[in-house]
Amino acid sequence: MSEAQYDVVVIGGGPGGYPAAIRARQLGLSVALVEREHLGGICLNWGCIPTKALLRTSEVHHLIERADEFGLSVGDVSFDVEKIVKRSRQVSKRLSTGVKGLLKKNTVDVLDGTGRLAGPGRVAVDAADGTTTELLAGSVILATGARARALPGLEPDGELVWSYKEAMVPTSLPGRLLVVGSGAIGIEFASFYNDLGADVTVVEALPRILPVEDEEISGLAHKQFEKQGITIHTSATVSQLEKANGEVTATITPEGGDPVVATFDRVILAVGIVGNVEGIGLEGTGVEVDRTHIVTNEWTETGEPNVYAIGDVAGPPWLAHKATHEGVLCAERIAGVPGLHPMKAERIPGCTYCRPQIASVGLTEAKAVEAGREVRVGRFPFRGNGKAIALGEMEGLVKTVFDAKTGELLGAHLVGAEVTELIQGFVVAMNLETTEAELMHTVFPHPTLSEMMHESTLAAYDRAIHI
Amino acid sequence: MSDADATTDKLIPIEMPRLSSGDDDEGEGATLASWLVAVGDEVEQGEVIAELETDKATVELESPASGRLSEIAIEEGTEGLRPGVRLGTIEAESAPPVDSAPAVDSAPADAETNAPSAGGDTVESTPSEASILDPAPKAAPDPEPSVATARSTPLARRAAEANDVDLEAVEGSGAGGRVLQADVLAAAGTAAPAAGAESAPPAPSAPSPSAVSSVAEGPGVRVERLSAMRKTIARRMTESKQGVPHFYLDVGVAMDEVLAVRARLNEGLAEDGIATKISVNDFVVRAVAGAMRDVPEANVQYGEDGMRVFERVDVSVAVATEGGLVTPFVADADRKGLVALAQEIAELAELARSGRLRPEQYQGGTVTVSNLGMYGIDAVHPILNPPQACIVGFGAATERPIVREGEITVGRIARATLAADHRAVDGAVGARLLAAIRARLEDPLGMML
Repeated sequence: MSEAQYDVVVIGGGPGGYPAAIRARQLGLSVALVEREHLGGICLNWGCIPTKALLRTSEVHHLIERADEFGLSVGDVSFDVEKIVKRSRQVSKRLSTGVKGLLKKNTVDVLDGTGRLAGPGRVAVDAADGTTTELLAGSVILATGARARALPGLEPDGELVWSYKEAMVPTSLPGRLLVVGSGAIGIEFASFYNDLGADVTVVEALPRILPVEDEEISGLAHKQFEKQGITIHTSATVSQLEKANGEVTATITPEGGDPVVATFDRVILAVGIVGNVEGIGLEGTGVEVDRTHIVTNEWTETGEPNVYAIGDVAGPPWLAHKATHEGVLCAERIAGVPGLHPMKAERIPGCTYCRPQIASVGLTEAKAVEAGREVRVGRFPFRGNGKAIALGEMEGLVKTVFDAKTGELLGAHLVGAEVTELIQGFVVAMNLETTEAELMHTVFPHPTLSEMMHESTLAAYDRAIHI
Repeated sequence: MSDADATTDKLIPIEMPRLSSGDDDEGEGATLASWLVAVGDEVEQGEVIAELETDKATVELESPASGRLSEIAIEEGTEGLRPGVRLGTIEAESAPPVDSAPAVDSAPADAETNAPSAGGDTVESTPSEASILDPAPKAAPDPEPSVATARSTPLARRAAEANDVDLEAVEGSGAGGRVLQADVLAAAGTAAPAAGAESAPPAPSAPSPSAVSSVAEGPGVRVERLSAMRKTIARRMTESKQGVPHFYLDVGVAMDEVLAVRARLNEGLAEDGIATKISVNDFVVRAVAGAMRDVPEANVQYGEDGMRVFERVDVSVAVATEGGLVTPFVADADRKGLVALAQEIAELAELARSGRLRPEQYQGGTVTVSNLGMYGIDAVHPILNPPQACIVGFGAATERPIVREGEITVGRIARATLAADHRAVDGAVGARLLAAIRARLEDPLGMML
């Protein structure tokens, strides 16, 4: 049986792999995509999308609980966990089917199975039924993604100790919930369960929650979470989990302090991810792996000629939109499109959909100063904005960081309602190499939360009007 | 960027367009039925270069740019092509298309070789060459370009001002050749902005000469403090050279008649006991003044809020003094007789050299004459005296072989050069002005009327 030949074989059909495949087809290359589980990857099926659906439910629930504030009266509010979960699964299914349709429309050959490198220019696909197909590939794009990291003593068991997967499909609401790790994933789950009524505790090993965000933003979020009833331990680790009688007893040890022992119904582990670098045939090739991720250059090239790596399996940031852009860049690189530019990490935004939401792009104030820049910082609080007050969302901040010498927008850091939808304005502006002048001249519509973007810029130059 | 080559080649992809107005989801893609050009052919933007077929119709594909078809990526007959697929590539030149304008063909070549700027100063030659031939003169960089066609980013423009880099000369690495901040900084020879970079205030300011030291130091080098006059000359000449789109026109003027008339006039004056002597320059000033009256479109100054049109012709005369160059002016120069002119100019020059000129004597003028003929110079290519729109450089009248009515003879020819601000004065106007100056000088008696 002769092997099928393709210009590009993409291993992995997530938010990195499928856009790469479609772009390659647009450029006239022949493409096969190998997916072992579900098209759309973690993002669509067990990540970004279903969690946003869940968080929508908790958001609506939260608003209903405030009904009186808005002049409404609502009877007893109850919810059906199964229905909540079902909705999120339907959303995922719909999108996953959508990806299938897109791949079909673009005539990408999709193979079900586990793909792996099988020699220069060759890819093997191991199907579920035990058969193996071999493909000839001009170029291979590794887009195998990542999975939850487990720490010694902290392994998910699928029952009492959850990874993100189980956390997404609860069968009932845990009464007492422990969340280990305060990155985006952990905090989103903490927010979701708290807003549905669970008693939530978050433990973070670093000195502050949401450690990658600007310090001021983390601080504001921390205060809000505590107001909401979430218990937070920072600079603390969970050293032990003891399971008995359907409960988990955890030993929480703060740095230089006495251990605290507490009992929970469920534990969610959100302590990072590791790339899926095993079993994909990297051994004996020039592909270099640094700890748990594949090493690539700014063009997504690995150490092996004609083998590329994109998305979560490659380096940070581990975000779906970064994977997508890498996928497109990779396809264009392979097709020889001229005039390509590598991605700039400092222009990739990050969003966290907890309540209040968090969104940021570029350098934090601290990082900008560390890099030797003289900065001008603008701050505008939600309580100064008409729309925010009208919405009843008074807690939040829009913070901008400018280079004092050139007026370059170095970073924007936001916390508050809907900020994940506001951040794009700053990202677009950064990509157009805006200075503060253009942002000041832009007419933002009124009344919107986006006006805070304008005021924050003005504030950086001591020209704010509304504070 | 090379000295000679002001154009940059860009690779423009030829992409499959969206053919149906909706429902592409149902379509199977289009077919590239045939290429109408071959690799290596020159194509014009908008020219039909291929035929596409859908199941409904045949559609013509127009070239996205002018240039050379450098690559065909999709062969004839290929089916299933979706919007965005790259069909080929055009190698385009980024310089604007050149239109020919009457009577100025020889000028650009002269402008290139005779440009008064120091060697390697490509900044000057390029704008003037393009401006002479381009019917739509390029103004100074527009502070608010439209987003869709922005050739540079806001940060790039700031960096250019702060680092004294000519934005027009920087090759852009951004999308569509856009100049990015990094491109400007690379051109300025600096790294990414660090703590020690030149500071620029947030509000855009007028360009100021860079204070970066590339100036000589060490033994054998004495540092003299700059006088206020020198600083002013430096600032104004820089502003003029960098900010104003100069173009240059040259003409040879037969000075035999002037020299003859001058001799007779001065003889007459001496006989009458009048101390005044009329110089060749007085004739030049009078001719320039009269010519400005003949071509009033040249008696203007560019203003962003409107062109300034003058009723009087005031001629500034360049006077070299110990401290530097000064340009006092003669008001209403076309209404004054040669003797009056000669006396007034001599007086102004004396005041200039002794530093006694009053501001109202040099703050004005609608055209300047810079005559270096007395130094034996062949041609002068002056820098405009801001905010004036015209300046005439004049060289020595030297004996040269000339042809008159088919016969080779000897004439005394002086080269007159007009430098003009192309924002205010176009090539044709400048040409008419220079022609009028020549006509008047070659018929000096006609000026007496």
